[in-house]
Amino acid sequence: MKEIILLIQKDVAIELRQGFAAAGVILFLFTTVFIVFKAFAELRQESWNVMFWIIFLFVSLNSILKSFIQEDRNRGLYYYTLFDPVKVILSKIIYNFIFSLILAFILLLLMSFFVNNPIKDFGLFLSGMTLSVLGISVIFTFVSSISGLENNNSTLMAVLAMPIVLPVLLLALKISAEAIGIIQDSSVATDFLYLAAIDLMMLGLALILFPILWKQ
Amino acid sequence: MNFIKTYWWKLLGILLLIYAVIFGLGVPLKHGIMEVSPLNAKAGEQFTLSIQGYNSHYSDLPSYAYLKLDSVHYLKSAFCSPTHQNIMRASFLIPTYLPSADSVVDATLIVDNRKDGYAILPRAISISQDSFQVERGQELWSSSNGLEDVTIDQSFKFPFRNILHETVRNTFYHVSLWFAMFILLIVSLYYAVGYLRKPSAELDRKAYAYTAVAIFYGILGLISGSIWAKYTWGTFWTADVKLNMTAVAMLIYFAYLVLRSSIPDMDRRAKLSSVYSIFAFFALIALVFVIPRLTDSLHPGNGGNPALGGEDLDNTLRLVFYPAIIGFTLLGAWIAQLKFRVSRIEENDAFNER
Repeated sequence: MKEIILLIQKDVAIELRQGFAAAGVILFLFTTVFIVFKAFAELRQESWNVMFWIIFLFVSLNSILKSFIQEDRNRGLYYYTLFDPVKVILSKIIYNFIFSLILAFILLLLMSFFVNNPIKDFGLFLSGMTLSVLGISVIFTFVSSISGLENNNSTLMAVLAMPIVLPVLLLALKISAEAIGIIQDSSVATDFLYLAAIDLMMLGLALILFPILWKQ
Repeated sequence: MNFIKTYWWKLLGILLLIYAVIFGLGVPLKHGIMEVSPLNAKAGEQFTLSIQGYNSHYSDLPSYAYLKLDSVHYLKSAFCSPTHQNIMRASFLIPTYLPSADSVVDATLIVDNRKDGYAILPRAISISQDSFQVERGQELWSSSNGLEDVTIDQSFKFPFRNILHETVRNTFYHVSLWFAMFILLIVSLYYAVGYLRKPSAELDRKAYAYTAVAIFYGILGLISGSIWAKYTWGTFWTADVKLNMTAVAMLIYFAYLVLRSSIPDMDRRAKLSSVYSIFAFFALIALVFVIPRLTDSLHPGNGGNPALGGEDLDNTLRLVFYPAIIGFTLLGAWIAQLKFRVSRIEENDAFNER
């Protein structure tokens, strides 16, 4: 546990040291939301929902992509001698999850400020968002560990990650559509159950498979 | 003798596929009703219905037509006059009142004769009435289970399904290709896990070969499904969830191919692609469970469509469908085996040249 916290602290320290990276991501969010605001004269509820998740998907793809790039090979070897691989991937996932969650909140603020805020049931939206962001960050972190080993190819990362993230994204869209009030469905609880099950399954797979990748 | 021992499964696969092709295409469909006209009738009139049958022998022997309103009330035709083996006119004396308080009632048409067995067209016509007297209507319409004496065709024929008609035979090829694809993917998953437990070039070659054949089957399944959809739903591609799930499955495995082709080093390629294929397979499983929750599907088993099972896949269809799945799977295993043996030889040659 101590080691995980240590690794997260290290990631936060790196993030803060190169402050331009985090600032760049937030600027990316800002410009995208502004483009959406200018491009749509009036953003309908359905489009708001879709835009929110599409923007979030690409921003988190960009920000999580670098989680294994910023580690150069020698430093990776150094960690390998020091830490258990399960702790390394777990710390990466926790760090990326928190970072993506902050990004999602900033996106929500920016969307509400510039465009509008159609959300009717905030509790439902935020809980659905948290679970979906968890799933997305687990999948992106793991896929970036695959593509990070292979010359940090960002196209490869997108091609590998997008189809896999689809089940989480579809459930995210459905739950937030319910929170906005576009659709009415009595089976929200089951959706949450499915989402949590997918998150756990992906997390378990990442924890099992990462040590094998790490061994090279 | 040795030959049979070693290659029995290839032989079995080929025989099952030949069986599936001969019986799947050769066995005729049962008697069915293609269409009727006119589509509307009024209570109290003498009504003549022109019926177009399929695989029927109306001229050979007397046929009977029934209009069925609900589980008990029906009306037998006054007389039926065939004009052709497949065409006949049935006259009904529709009573003045219907056994219902609705102004329009849908009636199911049943045509029966001793040779072809019975055929059903649900909601064939609608009967309208101006005034209702439900109790009087109940008296006027025959209300027994007299329809139990219809003939059931016991010979080996495939069921006639409205809309599907002859294309019901595609079940044996389109659907069984999908089943075979999933079985091959599971085999490939088994080899990928095996590789990660104990790395060897042979296991990686096997995992890759099985995935490649599964992708090939997936493409064939998409093509056969598209053509089928054109005939039954009227379009090659719809927003149907199962279609789009398949598209995503294909995307995942194309990504797998891209990943493999982007890594020159053999060991790393094997390790990364095995890890990815395991991860991707479970994502696909998640997708199978998630997607049906989102919208209705035109496919069987979703949104009120009957599923594979029950009356949809009847025993005569099963008799060809299951062997076809086994046949396609065995054929796929054979192709995969040839593929990984070729790649083994190629890799050994490349190794020797160096």
